[in-house]
Amino acid sequence: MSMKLRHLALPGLFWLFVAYLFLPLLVMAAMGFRDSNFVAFPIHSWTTKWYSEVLLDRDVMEALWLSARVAVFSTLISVAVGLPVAFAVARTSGIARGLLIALILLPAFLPVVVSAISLRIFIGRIGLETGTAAIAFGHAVGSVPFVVIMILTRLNTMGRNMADAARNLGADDVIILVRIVLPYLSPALLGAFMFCLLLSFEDFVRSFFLGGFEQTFPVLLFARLRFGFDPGLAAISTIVLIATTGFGLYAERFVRKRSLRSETSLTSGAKND
Amino acid sequence: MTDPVPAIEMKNICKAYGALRVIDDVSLKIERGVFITLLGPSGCGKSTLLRSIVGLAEPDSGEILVDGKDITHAAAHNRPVKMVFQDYALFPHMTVAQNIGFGCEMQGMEKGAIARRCTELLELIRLPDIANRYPDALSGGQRQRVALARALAPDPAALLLDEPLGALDLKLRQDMQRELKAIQRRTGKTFVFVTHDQQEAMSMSDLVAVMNKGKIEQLDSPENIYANPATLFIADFVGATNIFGAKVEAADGDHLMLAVGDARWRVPAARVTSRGKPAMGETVSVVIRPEAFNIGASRRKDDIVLSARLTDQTYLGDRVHLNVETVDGASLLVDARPPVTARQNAEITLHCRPDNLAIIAG
Amino acid sequence: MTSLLIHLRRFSVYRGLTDLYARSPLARLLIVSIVPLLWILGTTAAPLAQMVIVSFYESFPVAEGETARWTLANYASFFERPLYLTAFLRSFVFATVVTLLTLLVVFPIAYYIAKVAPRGRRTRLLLLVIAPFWVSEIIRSFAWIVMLANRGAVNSFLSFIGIPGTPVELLYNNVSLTIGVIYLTSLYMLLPLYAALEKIDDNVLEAAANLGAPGWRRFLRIVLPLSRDGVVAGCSLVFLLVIGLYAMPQLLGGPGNTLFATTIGQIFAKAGASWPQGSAFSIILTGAALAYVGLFVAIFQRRGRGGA
Repeated sequence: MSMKLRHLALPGLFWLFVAYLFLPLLVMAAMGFRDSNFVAFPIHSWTTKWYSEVLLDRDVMEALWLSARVAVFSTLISVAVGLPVAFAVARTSGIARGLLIALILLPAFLPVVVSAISLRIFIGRIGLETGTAAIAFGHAVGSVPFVVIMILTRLNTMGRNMADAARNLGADDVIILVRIVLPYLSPALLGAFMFCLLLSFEDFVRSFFLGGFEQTFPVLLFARLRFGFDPGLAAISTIVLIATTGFGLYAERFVRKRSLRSETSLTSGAKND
Repeated sequence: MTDPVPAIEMKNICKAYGALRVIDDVSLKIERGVFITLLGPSGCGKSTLLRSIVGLAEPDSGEILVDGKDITHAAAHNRPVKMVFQDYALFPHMTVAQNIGFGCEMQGMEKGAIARRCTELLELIRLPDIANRYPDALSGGQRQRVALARALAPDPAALLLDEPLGALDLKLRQDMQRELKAIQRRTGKTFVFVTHDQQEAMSMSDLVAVMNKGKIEQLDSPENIYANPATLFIADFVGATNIFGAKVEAADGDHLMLAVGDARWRVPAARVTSRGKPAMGETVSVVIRPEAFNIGASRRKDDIVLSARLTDQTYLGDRVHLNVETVDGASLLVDARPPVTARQNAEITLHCRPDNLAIIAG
Repeated sequence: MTSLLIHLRRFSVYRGLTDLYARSPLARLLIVSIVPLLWILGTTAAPLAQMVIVSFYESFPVAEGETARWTLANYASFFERPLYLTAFLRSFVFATVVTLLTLLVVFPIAYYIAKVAPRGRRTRLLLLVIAPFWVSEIIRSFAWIVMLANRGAVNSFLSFIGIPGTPVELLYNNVSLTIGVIYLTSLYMLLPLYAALEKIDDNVLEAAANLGAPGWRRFLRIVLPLSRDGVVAGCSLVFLLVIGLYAMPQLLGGPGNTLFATTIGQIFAKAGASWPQGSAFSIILTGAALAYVGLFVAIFQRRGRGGA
């Protein structure tokens, strides 16, 4: 009975789950090839016109361009802030550490709507406009907790004495940072960087509440979906889907490879000779 | 004979964490070119002492001088003393050559000179071919030697080693002990070695400082530490020991009369190895090493004689470990040369030269 | 870079600063804590404080030349109109149900990847189920619209195999929303569960089997307690995510089933709406959600270490 469960039911469930994840996306991708103005099945005649049309859609292209800019901008902020925050957490201990972690992670636990709205009120109060800068800033607020966790995880695997050894050999704190700590953290930094890009690119709520007249891609898509559906939306969604998924998988692989190298050097201890 | 200015001099170093005194008023002069070991159980303050020399721990009070220069308040990265860490702390993202060259680079040495120095050191540690490897491609012993080379590269005023052999297995550890000693001789550097392993301390050092509870209890040659322990702690910590409680009954000239249970032992007063000398009627401890005993009746009148019962024996090839029980019920360790003919539970007689024991007051 | 820094050391100012930093704990504390403190202040503390203050205003922004007038009316309005209270309660029930469903769906998947699948394939299987999550909420909502619409893939398939009564109304109700939301939340359940299950020593399971414990019993007595941390973390994350959902309920949910986060969002999205009221509602939602999750964690979190 239990063997049956392990070897038939569980894999069955797993592949069912995979189908649940992928089928809607595949169906959507297929819809982008429907030669008709309506989203409907069955598909009798096929066309690639939606895919070519969408690439000429000025609004879509502008939204994508804005999303890309916001993503890069917010990622730079997130990493620039996340790094010193991670250092601060690593250096404190006891109650101060707990409090610091709680406050830094808080935005990740707030309902996104609330977090976005509180920022909206706040930037209005201090006299800033909604728009690109506000969105980027808002996205960074959402990303910093993840950046901090990713960097801290890596920092915790760093040999206790590595910085001390460098100091002993004559490196001041600036050189320790540049030559020892940052290179060691680089896989985590790269991972955080790519993760932030994706997180920002797919964010809707913060962009929606903090945006001005220009729309990021998810906001544009949301607005269009409320008007009605055409296969063109399926086409552009599919293009973006392939791009982000591909990027995500590449990032995952890349980071995994990079971090493996420097981890083995620490974990494979002196006993294996 | 030796240079009048010591390589390292510590004056009245104190360090406490809350109520715990990790280093308790330690003063120590280390002459140039000496291999000295700080020996003690974990938590005795030896590592903290080492770390305060390089500036990675800050003493609460006291002074530290290196080559006569006061460095008590110098930043850690400006101190001329280098250290080998217990976990080696090699930089995993740098090659062996970059690791070794790091200290020289920090001194602003030019690239060619760094490369030459690096080659020199790789030859010293007898690993000339690994310059371009990364630390994760090295064995434990190789990493250990690279860490040593890295610390030696910037030509330090002294080299500090914090239990560097702890992670190696026994065989490799013994090889590395010889290797370390050889490198120390060849470079003529001052080595300050920290360990809790007394065998390691004995086999390598010119001088051993035994530490306990934040204090140096004795600073002496390995031979003297073993033969003339200044405190009961040292007698017990260094090597296997039999300790007898005794009372000073009389003193005549240069001999003491000790009451050990019902027996009376007449021993030379010169064998009092503790700093304080015992007064009449005071209790003392008599330390006798297992190999100081001989089996059989004594031919000399002044020998100390004990009768005991053999409870257990372990044959080790070159010697035999005996466990015996005295008539008082105390159990003793005896190291004998084979063959030992006595059987289990046999009554045997032990004797010991009165010069081969140590008396510790207090 | 490094050689530049080493050159810099010739200047006493640089040397003085780095020495000071190395030797003074106070200087280190100051420098290290500047960024975190500013960030917490500017992104969390000040905006939340501002929101709390605004929630007690009669109107916001306060008109030029006037001083703000304080009121509790914004909070009172939450209890006065059943519309709000219903949406609030609906949100909590919905989020709880979705969280439990997600746990139910994802647990066997996580268990399969972490414990049953061949070791060498685990990373690849994990990536396979993670990959779709690099897609935005909006695109995924759209994908489900294409699936579930009256002339969507599912209805088309049903009529193709001859099921009578098509098209079935699949979209714009709680079922379609639940299906879509689980699609969104399963990653946040999967990762903590996987991490917890992966840590369970295979020998423990084998020992239990060896001692004759049947499958379901092994699961209840060993697997579930040992993965408790993962379950608690996953459920907390998913609940907080669902309670704050804004876009998907509008795209996949029914018009009569508004959730509270959507209500709040719409207060702000509409022109001329009452920000103080929206702020008050935000604080009610946040406080209630964090308290709810906090209570859940307090009850189920493993007490102490070592015991299992």
